[in-house]
Amino acid sequence: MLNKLRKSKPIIFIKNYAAEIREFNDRSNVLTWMMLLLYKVALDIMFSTALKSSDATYNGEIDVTKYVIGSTLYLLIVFILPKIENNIISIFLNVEFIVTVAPIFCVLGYSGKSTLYAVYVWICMVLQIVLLRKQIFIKTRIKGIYIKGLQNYAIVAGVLLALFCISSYIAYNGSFAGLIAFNFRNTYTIRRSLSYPYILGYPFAWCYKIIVPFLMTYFMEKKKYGMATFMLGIELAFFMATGSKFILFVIPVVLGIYFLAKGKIVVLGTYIVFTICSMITVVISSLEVGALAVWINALFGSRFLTYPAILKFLHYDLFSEYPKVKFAEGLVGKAFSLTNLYRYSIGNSVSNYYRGIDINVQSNSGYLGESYAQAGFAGMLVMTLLLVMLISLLQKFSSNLKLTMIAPLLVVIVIVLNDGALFTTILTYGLAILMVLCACFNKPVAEEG
Amino acid sequence: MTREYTVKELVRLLLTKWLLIVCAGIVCAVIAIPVAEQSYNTAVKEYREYTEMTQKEQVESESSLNYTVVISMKTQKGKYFSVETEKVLNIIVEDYLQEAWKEYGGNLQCPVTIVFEGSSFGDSRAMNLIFINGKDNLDFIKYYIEKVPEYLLRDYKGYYEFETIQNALEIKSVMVELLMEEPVKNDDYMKTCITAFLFGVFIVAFGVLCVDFFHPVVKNIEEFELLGMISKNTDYEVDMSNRIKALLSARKVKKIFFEKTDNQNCIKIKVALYRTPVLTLHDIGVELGKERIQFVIK
Repeated sequence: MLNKLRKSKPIIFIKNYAAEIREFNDRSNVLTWMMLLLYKVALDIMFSTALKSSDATYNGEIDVTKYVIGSTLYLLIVFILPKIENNIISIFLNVEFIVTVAPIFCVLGYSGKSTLYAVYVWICMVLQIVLLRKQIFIKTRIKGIYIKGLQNYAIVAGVLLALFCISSYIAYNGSFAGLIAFNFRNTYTIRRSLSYPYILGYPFAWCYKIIVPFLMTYFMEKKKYGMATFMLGIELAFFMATGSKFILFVIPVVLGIYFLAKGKIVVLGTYIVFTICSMITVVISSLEVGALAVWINALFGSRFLTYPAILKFLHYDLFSEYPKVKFAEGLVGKAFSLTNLYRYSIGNSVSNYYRGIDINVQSNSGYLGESYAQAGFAGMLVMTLLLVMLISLLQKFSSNLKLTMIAPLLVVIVIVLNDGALFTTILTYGLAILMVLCACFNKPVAEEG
Repeated sequence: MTREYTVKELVRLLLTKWLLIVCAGIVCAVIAIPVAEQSYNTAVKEYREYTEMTQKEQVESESSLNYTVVISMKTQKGKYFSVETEKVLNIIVEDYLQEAWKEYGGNLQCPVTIVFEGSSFGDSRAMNLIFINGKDNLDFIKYYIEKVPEYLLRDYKGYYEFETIQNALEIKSVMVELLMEEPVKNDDYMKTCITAFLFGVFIVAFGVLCVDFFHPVVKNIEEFELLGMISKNTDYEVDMSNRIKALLSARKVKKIFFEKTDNQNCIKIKVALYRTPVLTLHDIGVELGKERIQFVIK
């Protein structure tokens, strides 16, 4: 199919591609189609009611032209988005669309932000879909990669590293918040006085973001529930030591996606969960039930969907007016000693720009915002291509893994990508570690047992 | 199909490309200093450009500088901000502003915009009141800052604790000062070269692995003959094929051909391999020899 597509002329290519989409969508679940549309409606309702006053840059008043453009961009993606289950490419694209891209298109109509940036995002998303869809359509099996003889070492090393990190962290700081950490009022108090032991910053983050959740799903898949519970305990210990809400957030995501993958409805299930959560946010907000409404709005609506979308637009606002960072910040900048014109990090600069005062607040950008800050639209395209390559590589590394093992971690990575830069996600947030782990566990099925 | 690697094989794969990897590192180290210089020059140029532009704008609009007053609020223990918060914040801006203005003895509408700070949940929140044309209203702003705590404690004591009210006036800095600083030249050339070298080595080594992961087959498939004293029998061919595959691991063998020979007891075996030069022809012969089958490698 692909060779045929490549050899054909442009018009024939488009016709073939359209035929491919039709064929593909005929096979897809009607429910997924419905949920894609319902999710859009739910986001619109949530953005125009519950989250109306959550941010000064977001007034909740509708700009009809931008709303129509945003909705059109949304629907165009809906048509070409793969809608199959049991495929990590499809899961990646759909969850990225749910978490990162759809809110941008929906917020556009209510925030009065740049249409051009929304179009840039749309192009990047389409590029990802077009490039990654090829791999769904390849008839032959993916040629997986497996690093022999490391699986058992990886398990032992993972558990030991996690135990070492948590114990050295507690010993270094001389405190362990324990159950008090579950009272979120204490979160910032706990965090204020803590710091990471020397060099342990990276391994510590890898442990609670990737290694422990990965081993948890592995043991669950192997029906070793005792070990799975032990890993869950380690994850909770990380939370109780640090007070980081992200750790607590990872657990339901990993478990939720694990069970959705068991039922082979990760894509559909995620749409349903997000649509329901959006509606719950609206209902609870309208009931005005005090702190609960505030928390649900904040955790799901504002913090999870609205702010990241608006912050990406703010990155565009700042760096379309001022010079780009040109990779002076980050790995490339350090390697070549590039001069950074900016006083603070990209995130801090955006906060200063937005608030007009010198304030030490980090505005997380997501890879789409950060890449624009680095090199404009060209940067967005480069990062998109790099992400496509990484996801293709991850698919090779996990070709023999059960979806229940890889899907939860993949979703965590997508959520992290909504907040962090791509290079940061690879190194600090552990995408590279996830790949290595997958390659170690990717034993061919025939050799199992 | 899954291609299998051992750690040893991956290392050997990298070692076979050591020249390429080292060259990439050297190239990066060589270009690092000119690139850093260029980056510094561009940054200086941009900084000057934006500073001059901003100074010009500042002179033109000196009378319309904005002033920011930050008011941070904290709820009493066990209470959270909710919808009520918004009402309170609006009162602070609208009612208290008017009240302060009356007390101050003016009748001017003081233009103000509000920016809510921080998250909307939890137990603390702040807001910025940005006074437009603040220079004209400087005295009033000072008066307002003194009065606001008094009003807040009068009306909301018992529910909110007003943790801090910054009574320092902050002239809203000119944006370029908030964002940029004068570029500093990095003179540590040795460090630059070393980090660039390591960066080049790391990237190309990763690239070498990726190329092998994505494109394991090359145009020139390695073919050679293994001549064994074996009988011609279809079952035996299948058995041999499986044994060779098992020996060489699945990823190594693309196809195995069996050909007749003049000798009734001989069969010629051709093995097409993937490129990865992990096992040499000699290694394969040794491996097959371990299976106690007499093979001659041609």
